[in-house]
Amino acid sequence: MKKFIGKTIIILSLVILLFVVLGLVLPYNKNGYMRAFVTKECKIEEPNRGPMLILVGGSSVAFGFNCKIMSDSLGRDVYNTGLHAGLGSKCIIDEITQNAKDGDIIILALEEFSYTKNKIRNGESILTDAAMLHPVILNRFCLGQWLTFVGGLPQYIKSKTFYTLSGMKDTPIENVEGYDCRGFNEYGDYTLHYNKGCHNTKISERSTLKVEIDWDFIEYVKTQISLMEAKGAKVYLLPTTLNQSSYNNTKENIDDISLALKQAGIPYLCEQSLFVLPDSLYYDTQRHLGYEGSLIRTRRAIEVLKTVIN
Amino acid sequence: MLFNSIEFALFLPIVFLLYWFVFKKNLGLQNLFLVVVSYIFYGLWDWRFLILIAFTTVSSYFSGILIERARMREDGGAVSQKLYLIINIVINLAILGFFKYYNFFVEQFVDLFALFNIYMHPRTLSIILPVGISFYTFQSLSYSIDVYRRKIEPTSDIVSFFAFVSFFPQLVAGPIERATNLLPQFYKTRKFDYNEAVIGCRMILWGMFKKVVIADTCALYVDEVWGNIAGQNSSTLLIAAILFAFQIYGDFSGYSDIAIGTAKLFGFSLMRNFNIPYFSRDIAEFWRRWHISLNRWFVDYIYIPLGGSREGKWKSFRNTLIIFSICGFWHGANWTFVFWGLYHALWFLPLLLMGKNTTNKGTVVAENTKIASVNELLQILATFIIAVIGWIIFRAENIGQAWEFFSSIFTSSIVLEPIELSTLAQLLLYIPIMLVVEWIDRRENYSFTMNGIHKQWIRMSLYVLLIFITIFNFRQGQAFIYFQF
Repeated sequence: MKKFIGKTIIILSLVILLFVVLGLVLPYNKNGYMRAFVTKECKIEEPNRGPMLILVGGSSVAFGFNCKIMSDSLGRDVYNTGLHAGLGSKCIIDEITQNAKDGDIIILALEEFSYTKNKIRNGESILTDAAMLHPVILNRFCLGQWLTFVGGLPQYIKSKTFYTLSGMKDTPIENVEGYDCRGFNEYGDYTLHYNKGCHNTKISERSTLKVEIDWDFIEYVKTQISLMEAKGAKVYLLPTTLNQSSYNNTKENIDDISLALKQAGIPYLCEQSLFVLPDSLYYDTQRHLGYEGSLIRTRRAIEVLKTVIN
Repeated sequence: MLFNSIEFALFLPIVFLLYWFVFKKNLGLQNLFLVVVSYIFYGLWDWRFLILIAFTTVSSYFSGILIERARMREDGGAVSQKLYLIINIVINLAILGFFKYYNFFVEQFVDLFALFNIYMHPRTLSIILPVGISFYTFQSLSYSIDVYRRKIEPTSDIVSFFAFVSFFPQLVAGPIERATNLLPQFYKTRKFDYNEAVIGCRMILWGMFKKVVIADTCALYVDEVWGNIAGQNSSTLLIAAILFAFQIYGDFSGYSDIAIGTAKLFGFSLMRNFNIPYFSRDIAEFWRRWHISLNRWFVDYIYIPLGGSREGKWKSFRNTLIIFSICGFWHGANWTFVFWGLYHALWFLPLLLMGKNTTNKGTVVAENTKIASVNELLQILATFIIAVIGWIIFRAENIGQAWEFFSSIFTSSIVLEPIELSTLAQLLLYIPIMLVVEWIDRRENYSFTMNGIHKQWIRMSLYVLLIFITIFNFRQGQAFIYFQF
């Protein structure tokens, strides 16, 4: 038994050592999409920043607003912290709670599935990238997020390895095909795809099962909202955006989620249908708007926000 | 809890250490510990599933006792024995049937009446299929049937019986163990065997490689293609078909290897479930090498009781057709699975009728040589192609989609520019590695034996390399395909 345990420990130690060396030595893609997490965090962490209107959510927020127009219309500084739902709804909420300030207006526009029982609450492997790039968020991790973090380490190291093996290419921005941190403007909006046209074919599937509301998470959101409001911030919930076909397939589930939020005392400011746009306005997924779509959504959001903001 | 998860990576060593260091001295407590951890393992999917498995276990346990009591009566209690067996079978199959097939039958019923312009709107239920129900139901049924047949004495040790049904390494996706093999192992004191533990670890590693590196990487390509069949060219579709064959093999045989290897760490010996099926020389051999535990179950509990091949060729033909249909249906409530079973029956039956279904039985390809002959290679290729075609039917969501896939292969352009080239490039490296290793060990009881490698440092290096490659390709949350059955 001792021989078996000893040899197992030796082999696993060698493997871990190999990963640690690769993880420490190899560089992260300097234009990687998740690098924007650092930029966005630093923006809202700034100790001397003034009050802002802050948009919070996943990539549907990053790809779905024109914050300059919003800023001009509402007469406030606006910043888009939207990035990737794979960070996990808990991480997204925790970071804005941590960095909310007196006078901030926080617009939570999480993807609707964040409020259902799923595995997105504690994030996906992308959370590992975010935590390695901005380790301070580790202080706020729960056990589930730590498991996600550890589980995402292989993919994190793999991406670094492939980046290194590809010669650490610095692709000119006009030739970038995927997502790139240089695609965000000064307001935090993702704009790289604006001149690439819309060609999304993805449609959310019709669910045969009734959605299971994650009441625990909704209570958690309520608690975090209270903390933000205690700091002097105001918090409002907006529905996410979805293409028409996906909405048609999932309307019942979305209605259930809206009702659940209403029952919990944190209703959306408006109906989901206001942000359901024709399929043709979506760039590459059922949640990523192109230029025209983001303008429409922004204008509708402004009208809604004007009713609650002075 | 998935085998390929951080949770299992933490669970297994803790359970291993407690099993051998805390509970070693008391067999009863050790078995009880296995029941507890197995229920934790299973309950993490959904605690409600525990009620079902417990009920199944209790039903089969008492059926064994009642059958034996009936047997002890003066009149032999033949009728009572049969009655208790039938009751247990009905209970278990009713549970399985409800959870797995209720909505399917309701929908077929509605469709049938719709053909006659009679439109009905019955309720279908939002039924969650308990993970592994097909596996543990069959496993516990085999116990009561074997008690009835006097192949095994009924047990009064309820803890051992609970451990037998719920044993976590093989609970959710097999191998479907026989009570005659596994149950007695719970009565005996287990001793830690270094060599068996090393073999176990090797099997776990090899199973993880097949699942994480082969199956999950194939899935990236296969799912992309199946998500948009109409938009693919012929070469892409053909590649996806072939890769699915490797995906399902890597996934399922990988799980079995991990299960068997994990069991070895605890001193248990499980049956082999896959025996290099893609090196089969005909379809009959394929079915002796693929999902062995399930196929043996159907042969022993359905084919042979129906008469097997003892009552003439035509009854043999009928019985074979029945078990292939049932085997297909066992996989799920969908006509694609039934058609898949019948498709294989179409290839098997001619061999049966010509008396050639046992031609290659008991032998392995290139039995006495290092390389297969040209004839054998052609046989392997032909059998593989037959299997790949069957997997297209298996993978499809419905018959229409299967037809769409087949017709698109012939009607789309043959442009030699398949999608996801980086994924393909990786697989062009990994799949040959798997095939070579399994070829080298084709005569052994398991793959990745490292029998030809004697230098310790080379072995250790290969272990480190394989673990590294496996972890390198790890993606969170990739479930096993057979969990849905």
